[in-house]
Amino acid sequence: MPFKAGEPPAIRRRRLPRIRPGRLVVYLLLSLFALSAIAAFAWVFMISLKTTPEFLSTSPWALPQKLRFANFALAWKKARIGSYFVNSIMASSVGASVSIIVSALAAYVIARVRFRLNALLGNFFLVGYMIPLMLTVIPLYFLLAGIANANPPLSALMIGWGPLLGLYVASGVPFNTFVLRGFFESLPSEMEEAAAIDGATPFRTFWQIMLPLVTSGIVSTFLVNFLSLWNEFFLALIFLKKENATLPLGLFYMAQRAEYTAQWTDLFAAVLITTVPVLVVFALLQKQVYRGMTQGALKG
Amino acid sequence: MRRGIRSRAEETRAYWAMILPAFILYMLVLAFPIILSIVLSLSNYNGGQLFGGAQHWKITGFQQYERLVNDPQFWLALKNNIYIVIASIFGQLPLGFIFAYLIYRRIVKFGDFWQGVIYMPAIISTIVLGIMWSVIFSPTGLIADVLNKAYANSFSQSLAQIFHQAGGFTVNDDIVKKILGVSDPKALTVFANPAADLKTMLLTYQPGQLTVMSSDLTNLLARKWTPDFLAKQDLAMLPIMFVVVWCWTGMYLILFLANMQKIDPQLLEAARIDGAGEGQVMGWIVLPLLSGVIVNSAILCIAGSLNSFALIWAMTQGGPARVTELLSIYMYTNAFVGAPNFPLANAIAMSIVIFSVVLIVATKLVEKRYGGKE
Repeated sequence: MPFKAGEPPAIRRRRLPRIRPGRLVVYLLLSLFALSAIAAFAWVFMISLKTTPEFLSTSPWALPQKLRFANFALAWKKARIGSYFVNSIMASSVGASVSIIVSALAAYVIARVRFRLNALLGNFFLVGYMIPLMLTVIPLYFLLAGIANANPPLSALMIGWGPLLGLYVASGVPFNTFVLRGFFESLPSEMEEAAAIDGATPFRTFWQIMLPLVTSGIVSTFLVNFLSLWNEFFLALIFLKKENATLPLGLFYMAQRAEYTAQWTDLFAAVLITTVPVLVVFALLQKQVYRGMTQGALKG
Repeated sequence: MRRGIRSRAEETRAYWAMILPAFILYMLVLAFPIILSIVLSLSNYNGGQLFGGAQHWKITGFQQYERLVNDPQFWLALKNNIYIVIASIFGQLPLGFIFAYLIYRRIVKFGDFWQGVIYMPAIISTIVLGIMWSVIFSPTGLIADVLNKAYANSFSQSLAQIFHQAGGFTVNDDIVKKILGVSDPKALTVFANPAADLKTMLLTYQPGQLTVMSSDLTNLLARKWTPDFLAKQDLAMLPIMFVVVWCWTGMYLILFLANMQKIDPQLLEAARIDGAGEGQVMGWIVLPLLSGVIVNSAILCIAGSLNSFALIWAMTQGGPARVTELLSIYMYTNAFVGAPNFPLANAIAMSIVIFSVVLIVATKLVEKRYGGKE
């Protein structure tokens, strides 16, 4: 139960709250964090409504002279943010869902089936949680690039979306198996026994009986996966070309260009296009996001 | 009972089939490349096909590691990484803990709001955050604007004072000297000969044009904020450390809060009734109860800091002049930029692994020595 923990009784009893310096410092510190986040985005929004000459000539604090939404259209079409957006949606949803299906299968067996290697397999997957993907990618890339060089027909398969999606799926496996294992372990065993008596195959028991019971856990886990893939940059930088980038990669190239062309205003419009969907999802599904995040981060 | 219809072996096979996809992916993408990375870091591999075909690379021993320890850039990158680790452990964790406690105990109002806002940066693309902060810190950004206004203000005030003391608008050597005294030395480089040129300039104004002159001089000579410190070693890491703390404090806030909510509230109430202050409850009850979570968070923190790439890549790309390079950026540039050095890149990757293992073991040792109050 969130926030069930009691209120400090001392505060209740006091009629007139005194302003205590400690409390003031606390609020100041919290506001510093909150304001910097809110102000930064408000500022980005303001700039995204200005024209480039206006941005360069007026104070960065000045309000836009009029609400000009053309930058958004410009970023969406001309700067190709629209196509990056579609790429990101595809990559994140495919990566997250396949990873969860693959992990759920393994997590179910590790959690529910009694056989000799359970504990060993569970720990084996868990170790991967500590291995930074960034380090494994470099040798993997050389391996794939080498194959592509030697066999040009295979090169489309070795570099680009194929291996990237494979990496996206695999990168979630340690986290997902760990979290989903926890969800499966918490289920009662009667259902499974009944299914076995009725002669259901292991896969059918998993798919039709056990998986639906952990739906809420799957939703939280999917959210965490989706958000982290939506924001993923390093792998995309290595495997994708500028023309078919994901949003973070496209934004990065756009920011580099802005340094020379001073096209800051449509860059900021693009930043908003990238960020707003995430913020909306977060605002709607805050509790599930917290749940997914805290479930995965090793228990104390 | 129809159980006997399926044989035991059939069932086992089905279970293995369910584990297999995850297992294969895991081996291919995580386990195998780590081993490959170790091998390559000890080799002279320099591009081309790794296996099959004519073998054109062989194991050559530790020469890449030797090169690494002799490269000053490696040590700079390592030092910068340590800064990030320090900012994470001593910034994110304590702040996250205190904020979580404040919200948990409802010492502050609107807990949900603070939690959401502080956590928000953690779910936004680090590239977005990097771009945003680099613009805010840039010479045309928000910070520059605030500081430049302040500098201009104080400059025009000193100007007014100088002319007030002189009893109105007059031009003489003494006044020129005083104005030069309050000007930004860097701005004075626009003049070939500051004293004489400034005097000539002042003489072009009519006595009634004091305000015009004052604003012209302010534009020309007042100090402007140029983020020079961003080009200096160590100092250049400060804004990055700030952003790192700002980004991920929320992550630890929700972690700690979730675990605090598992504590039996009666325990804390009892302590409060016995007269313990909030600070004492936090330090003597909640902190020890969460020590396991804190150690795990510290490990997450270390692993995260050593792998941070996107944020710094978007903010500085390791620049200017490579002073903000981290191990990850050092590795990336060696693997993919300019004339790549593949074995060196793998050696850097291994050094990151070694470094993180050392730090994690150290954290565990600290826990063993000082923790264990549970």
